[in-house]
Amino acid sequence: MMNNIVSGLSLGVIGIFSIIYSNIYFEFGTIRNIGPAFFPSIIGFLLTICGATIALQNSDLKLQEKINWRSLLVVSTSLLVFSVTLKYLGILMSMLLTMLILNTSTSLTVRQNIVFSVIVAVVCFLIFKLLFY
Amino acid sequence: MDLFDSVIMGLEVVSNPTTLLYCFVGVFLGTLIGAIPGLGAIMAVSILLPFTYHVEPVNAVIMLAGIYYGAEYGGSISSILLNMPGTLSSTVTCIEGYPMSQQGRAGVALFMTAMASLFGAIIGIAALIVFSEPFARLGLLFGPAEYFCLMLLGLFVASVINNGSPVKGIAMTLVGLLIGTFGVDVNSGHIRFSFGITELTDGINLIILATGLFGVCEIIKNISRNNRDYSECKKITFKSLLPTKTDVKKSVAPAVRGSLVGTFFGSLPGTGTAIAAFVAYSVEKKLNRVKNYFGNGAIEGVVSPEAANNAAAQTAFIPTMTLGIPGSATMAIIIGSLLLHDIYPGPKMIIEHPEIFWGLIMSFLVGNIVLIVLNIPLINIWTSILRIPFQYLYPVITAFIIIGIYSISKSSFDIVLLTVFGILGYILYLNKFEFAPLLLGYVIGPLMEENLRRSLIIFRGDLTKFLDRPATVIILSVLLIIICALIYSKYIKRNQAHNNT
Repeated sequence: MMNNIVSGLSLGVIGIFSIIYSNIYFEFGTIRNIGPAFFPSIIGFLLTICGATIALQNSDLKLQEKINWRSLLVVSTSLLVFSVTLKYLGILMSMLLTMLILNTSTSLTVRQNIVFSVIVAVVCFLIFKLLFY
Repeated sequence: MDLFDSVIMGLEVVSNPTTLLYCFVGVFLGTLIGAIPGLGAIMAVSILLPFTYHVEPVNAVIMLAGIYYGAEYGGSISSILLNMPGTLSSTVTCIEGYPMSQQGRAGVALFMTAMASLFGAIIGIAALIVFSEPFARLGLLFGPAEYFCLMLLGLFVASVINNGSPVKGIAMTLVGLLIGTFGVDVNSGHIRFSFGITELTDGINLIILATGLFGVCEIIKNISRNNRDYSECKKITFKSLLPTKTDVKKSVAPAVRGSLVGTFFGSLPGTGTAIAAFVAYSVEKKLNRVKNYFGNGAIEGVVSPEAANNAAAQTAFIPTMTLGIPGSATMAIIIGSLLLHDIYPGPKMIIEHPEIFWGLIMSFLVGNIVLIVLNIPLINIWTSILRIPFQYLYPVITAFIIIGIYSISKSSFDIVLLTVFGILGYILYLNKFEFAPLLLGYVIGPLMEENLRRSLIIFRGDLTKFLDRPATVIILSVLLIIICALIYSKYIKRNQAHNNT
């Protein structure tokens, strides 16, 4: 998905962005009495240098491992489903739904998935009620 | 007899039944998660961090510390039995531990590991008791300029010493420092980097950041993986645990050496347990030059690194607690959890909250004894955990993380943030960035900015005054030496590469 060039450039962009953003919205101050933009600007500056260095040393272009799109998608969807449905369904049902989605990325069969999800959801519900109420 | 009184006070704190329970739960859960292949101390601490949020500060920090050194113990189990290290520091244990286990001496390896760990921990605790007062007194002499330089040194060392490239480590530290500036600026009252999102006005919660980067990322990595065949992981009988006389004889000196190495490296900022274990192993290797002795199940190679990493796990608390400067990401989380309770670790903490400091130290003693009980008679609990299939393990961890994060402030936005950090962590992992420095930078950032601001006010904006004080000069020259050493070693490596081609 990315390599050293892209990640170095993104770090550089973040660095430059933080310099510009902080100096537009708050004051830099003087070196004698530094303002809220001082520290973010310095970090942004150093980050830009680091980003450039990383982008230039394009020796290591391979990723750590092949990106697992399926897991990435399933895990993030299931977490987001929890945060969206929580308001309407409550913890027990939201957790059940989250687990049902999450388990599709494992090698469980549909039946195993349903049984396991129900157990996890109920246990989590009880833990939540016991510990945090 | 000041020290004696303090120790007694610490023991009083720990003898409280509730505190004892938290200590026990901490080391138990720590060993449990540490024993799971692939999961280490930092994962254990970040997954369980939310559950300490509503707990009293003393108990919270005792439990978190218990999780930390419990996971160091647990990590050795999967290293010895399966050759799958849970933590970086237990990769060393694999080298000799796994061959021992293949020779049918897994029980002995586990027993000696537990004993060496206890020994190392006791040496570490002794060092902690003796050296923390002098360190704290030194800390009281330090002004903001000294603190700023110390933090700079700690951050630099921690970001340079890692598996990957030093530049990437530094970049991650900087990103962490940047994330640390999110939220209200204490000095001016300005809200920085909230991008108009109400939930971001308080900045980013440490718990969400740590759990997202370490927890959710690990889940994405592993959830679709299947366990290997763990049938080789048989029950360990009590009889097989007992070492022979020669085993014990061979282990005494390495345990002592390992503990001393660990005690020293643990107390340095930025090094931590993994370095201690590696150094201890190479010391043993240097001392015994018999050919092919190491690598084939030498008991010295298990005992010494294990003693070292447990001693280091304890002495890591010296800079963390007495100066308020964490040396590793795990220590940063522990500091962060104290900050969440409005307790500021540092020399003043020992004066203002002696019960937390001494209670914590004494809890290490109790916790390590509990660990021996958990690891020797009850070893089969942990070996059976190794047999739980991943497809059950990871969904349960996910559910715990969700419940934990939601319980902090009952906000579903936190879950969204958690997801974002999880994805960010996965991208960083794929591109060979390490996020331990990020977390360290995040925790140290606000402290560093505050100390920089104060020292610049004192110096009236004159940067050369940083070189007027003896302590800052020493710290900055150490920093300079490390930078030079780094450049030099890189230069040599490049030359060698040239000569080879």
